[in-house]
Amino acid sequence: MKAGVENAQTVLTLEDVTFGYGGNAVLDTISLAFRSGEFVAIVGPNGCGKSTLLKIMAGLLSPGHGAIKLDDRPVSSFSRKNLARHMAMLAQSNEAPAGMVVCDLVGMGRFAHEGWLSRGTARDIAHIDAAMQTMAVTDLADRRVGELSGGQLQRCRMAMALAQDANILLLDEPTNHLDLKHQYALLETARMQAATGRAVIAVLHDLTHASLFADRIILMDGGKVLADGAPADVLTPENIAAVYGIVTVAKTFGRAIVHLPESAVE
Amino acid sequence: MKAGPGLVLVTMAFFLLCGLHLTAGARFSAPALVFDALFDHDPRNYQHVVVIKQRLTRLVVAGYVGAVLAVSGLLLQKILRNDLVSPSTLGINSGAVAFVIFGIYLFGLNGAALFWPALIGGFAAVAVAFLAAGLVSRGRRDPLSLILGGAMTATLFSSATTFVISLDPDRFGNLMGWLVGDIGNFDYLPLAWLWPVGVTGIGFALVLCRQIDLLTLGTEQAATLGADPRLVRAGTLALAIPLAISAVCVVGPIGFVGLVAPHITRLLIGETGRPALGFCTLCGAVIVIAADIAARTLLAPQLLQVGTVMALCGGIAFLVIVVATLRRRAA
Repeated sequence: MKAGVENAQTVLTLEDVTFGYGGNAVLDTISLAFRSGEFVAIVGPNGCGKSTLLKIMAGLLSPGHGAIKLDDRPVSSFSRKNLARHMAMLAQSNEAPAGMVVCDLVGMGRFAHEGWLSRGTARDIAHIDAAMQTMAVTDLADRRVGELSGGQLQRCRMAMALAQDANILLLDEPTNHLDLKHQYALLETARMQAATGRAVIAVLHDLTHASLFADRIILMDGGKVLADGAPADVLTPENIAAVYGIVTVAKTFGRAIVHLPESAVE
Repeated sequence: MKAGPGLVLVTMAFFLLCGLHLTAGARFSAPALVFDALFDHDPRNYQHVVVIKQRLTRLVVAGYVGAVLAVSGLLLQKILRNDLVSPSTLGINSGAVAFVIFGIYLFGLNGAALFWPALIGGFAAVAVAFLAAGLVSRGRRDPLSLILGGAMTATLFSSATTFVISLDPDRFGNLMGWLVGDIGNFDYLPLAWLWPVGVTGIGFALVLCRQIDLLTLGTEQAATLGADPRLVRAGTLALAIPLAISAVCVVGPIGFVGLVAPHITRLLIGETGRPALGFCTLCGAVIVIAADIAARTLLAPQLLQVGTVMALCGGIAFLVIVVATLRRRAA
């Protein structure tokens, strides 16, 4: 049975997850499954609940109803430290003390693997060095956060999340603050992480980026999943019109799907 | 500056000022005499007695008070992610003083027993400051609104203090020095009871340091890195408040050390890691020891109150820090 094979790789599942503030439902009975080795992009208009969904997965918010399971165990039953060994997240807010040194910042990613006394082991250092190399921030190791540009800081924070060496990587608008070159580099890194067998789940703003790098796109609107599947199946002009309320023409360049406003193309 | 050289520098400054503190005073004592007083003590030699009973005891009190207030300030600034908070600017000092006065007036408490009302006052002040800040900021995160809340809290508790004192002024006559914050010659007596608070507090702060560092990256990021933000924040408050209170119980409300020492630390070696905590501890001690030297020598033989000296220097530093914060925000 095909579903059986897929279930064997499933690392994170959401079952009928509902979440709301007061009477307003932000997420409405969402059921999803994420498998290791896939790069999933969550897209949708502002306020559609995509960041909330990511926070629910990370155990930062508790659903009003439904269950989130990591390897068939409820996320809420993990301690924060144990959960952090399975799941890393790059949060949206990029606050960090101006006086913090970059290698210390990246080293924070190793906290979940540290004991009270065992810190800075050879393994920790290997992961920190590798993560800094991947994000091309090795040269910045001795700089202070206050001296960095927004883009440099974002890359250092991504290195921190990579140093965590977790099987699931959640990214909340990871290309924020980055220039074009580093946007593509970060997304390429995310895809490479998925290729090594991790589950990478990113909230993205840019549909073209999502189509170019993700294996699967989840399109959300009003707290519900409107479409879920391969980029070409999800990013159709009909779905875009339904969600964003704009008539577009879809152009494809290789993997990339670019939606242009119909009025501008004619 | 790297953490290593920074620690060496502040340790040297600490010992230098300790030496200066013991030699300086209404009358200068030669280093040889201080050395003899410490290691070849003659209880019949009046100058030896002065060095030990009037200077060494003050030195220990000044060092302790500076160290615990500085650590308290650093912890508060880190978990609240607000460079302007400190035991004094949050109103903790004023809350403790008010509750001590209540304790004396209502229950006739004295000595070490006053630690408990002071502690309750400290926690009450933080609660009031947060409440007031919440009302002022209406949910927005704004570093100045917490300070405004703290200032309101301090004013509120200071008025309560003044009111209770006015009911029976004679009873509180001998507390005037303590009320403005001063190191007296007998302050080492309560310290003999209270020093374990400082030692255990700083010890636990060193243990928790890593988690507190994670919290400086924001609540959500800290949680996904593996820390429990609520637990760490509550635990840190439960360290920072008693640390400050133990100082207030000994010398009264000496302000601004807890604000300035973390800033100097941050400027020189950053705020991350255990070395920064150690640096801040010594830096606080150095500041109050220097203030005590100034208090005893500036208008010698007349003694100034250390609290007054600190308030004068610290008030200016506070203004500079607030202006720098506003500039940074405008930029």
